[in-house]
Amino acid sequence: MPDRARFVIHIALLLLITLLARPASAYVLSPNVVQSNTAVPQLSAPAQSREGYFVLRLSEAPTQNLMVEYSTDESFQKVERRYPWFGDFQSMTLTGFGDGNHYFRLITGSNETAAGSEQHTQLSNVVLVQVDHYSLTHALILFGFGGVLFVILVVIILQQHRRSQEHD
Amino acid sequence: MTETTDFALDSSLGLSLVVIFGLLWIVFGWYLGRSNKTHEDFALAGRNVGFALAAATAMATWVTSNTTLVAPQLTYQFGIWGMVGYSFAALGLILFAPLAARIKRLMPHGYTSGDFIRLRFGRGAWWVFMVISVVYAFGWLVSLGMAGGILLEALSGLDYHIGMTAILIICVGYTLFGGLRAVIATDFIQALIIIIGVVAIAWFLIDTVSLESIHTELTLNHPRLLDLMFPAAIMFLFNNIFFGLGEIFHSNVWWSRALAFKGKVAFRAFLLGGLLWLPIPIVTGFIALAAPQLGIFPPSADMVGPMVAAKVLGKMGAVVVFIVVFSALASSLDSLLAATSDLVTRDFYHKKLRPQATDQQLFKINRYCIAGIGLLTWLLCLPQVATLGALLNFAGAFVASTIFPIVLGLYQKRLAGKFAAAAMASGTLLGLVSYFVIGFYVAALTACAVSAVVCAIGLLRSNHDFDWEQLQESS
Repeated sequence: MPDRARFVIHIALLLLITLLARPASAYVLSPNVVQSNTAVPQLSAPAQSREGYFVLRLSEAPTQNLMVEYSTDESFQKVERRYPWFGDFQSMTLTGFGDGNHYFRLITGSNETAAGSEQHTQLSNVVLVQVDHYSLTHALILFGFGGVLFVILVVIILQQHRRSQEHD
Repeated sequence: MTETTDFALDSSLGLSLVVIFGLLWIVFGWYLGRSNKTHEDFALAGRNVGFALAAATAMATWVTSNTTLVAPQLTYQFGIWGMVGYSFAALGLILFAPLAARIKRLMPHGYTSGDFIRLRFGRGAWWVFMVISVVYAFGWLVSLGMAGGILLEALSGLDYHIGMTAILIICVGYTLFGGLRAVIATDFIQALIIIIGVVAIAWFLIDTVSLESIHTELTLNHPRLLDLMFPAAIMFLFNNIFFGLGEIFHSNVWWSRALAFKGKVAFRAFLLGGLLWLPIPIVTGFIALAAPQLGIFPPSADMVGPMVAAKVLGKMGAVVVFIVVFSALASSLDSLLAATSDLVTRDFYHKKLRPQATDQQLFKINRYCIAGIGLLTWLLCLPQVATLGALLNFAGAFVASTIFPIVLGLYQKRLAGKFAAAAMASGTLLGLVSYFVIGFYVAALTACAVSAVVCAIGLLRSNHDFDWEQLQESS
């Protein structure tokens, strides 16, 4: 091996080992700490989704436990579901939604806090995601087109392989 | 509902695992690389790989960030079709089996897929093909590097850049020492780790969460994930198949294996590799369906697999997940590094810049290429510009355009180089247009269809009669 390559590898290995000494940047939120005096970050979301999945984003990294409330009603008369925010990440991916308007907002604290004592919770802005799935007809046409092309390809490969085997 | 704010692994433990595994793989690569005496030993493992290693490397190389991170991502996004559709990518390996036998017969002394395109179709098609190959190789390399960072971040909360840097250093290290011999040998071990680990994770998941509760949760709160008439998922299906076929048919990763396998091993090895691979995305994808039941809603969809597994299996489980996914990433990253550096060394350096280069010079340049490609990948990974799925789907427009030119080029004497070049160029361009104008789910499909039409016109209009003997180029 060239000396230069060996030198690069040794430097790389050294760097790899020194990674151990790097302070961990993992951020673990304590489930017991709810800093109610901290402002709730702004929530944002795409206006429309054609696939039923989308990403909710925060304006800044959370410094307290957060939950996302979901409702099909803008005034949140009935909260359909609560989603716990993960760690100090600034985004959350939700999936499997049907056609319609879906409203989301943030609340501080755990599930129990939100349901039990309203005075300890803070609410963020409300975001709307409109889910409008692609037309099924459109999807089936593409599926059929892909299927025909695939069958043609498989027939060509199998036929030519058999011919070349016979020729050999 | 359960709180999910704690990371499954302590960050120091995560880093320790990286360092321990890294050193083990690098020492193993160095050990295997001692017997590499010539460039052919280094690049093609002496063309003497037996059936067991051949099948294992075919399977393990195809188990990648796609399978361990993107299959759960697509299941989380598209539901049942996500995992079933993803498993159809096994068709790429299965259908490559006859092509591999043909490649080995036509070019017993060949080195790369670029060699074939140059000799079969000429310089014009070769340039188009090399652009496609380089774009794809870097797309895949970047997605693998990113996946290393995402994995460590999801499991231990460590900064993305640490995981990404670590996996690149490790894979560059042992590929640099051992060449394709080390890549194939580590693939064999990694394949065993992957199969055992994935089965164990799925077993514990079903045992802990139960199929019934997962089904109930999805039916009530995420009904589209169980819907077989999910439009986006239906559109994704054949696009994904053509993407997988294009990836395998054109890439030097698979061509170098076909050429490295002993005698008539290639056909059986790729067939068995594909059949072994088929159930893996079903298992890894299924893991993602448990996410809502466990209260896991990931920051990015490609993090869902490791997060669910770590949640279900606890700290020990997170270690297993880490080892499995890290093995999967390494098994692909090393293969791609080796194959891409072979392509650069052989097709650019040897055939274009220095035709008189000695074997030892090629050996040295190949190693420089591995280090250089590793460094470039690291730079491209730094900004983390897209999710893994988005990055890969973009590459679909490029690779799917090569399917018909390669298949017809291997079997049909009449397809001329100008039509092959036009098929790849027009397929890629219109695939990209459809990617941006319509969506990712039509990019590969459009590229393949356009390319097929141009090839069909080429066959009808051309009187070309290629002599297969022209492929027997001396090295």
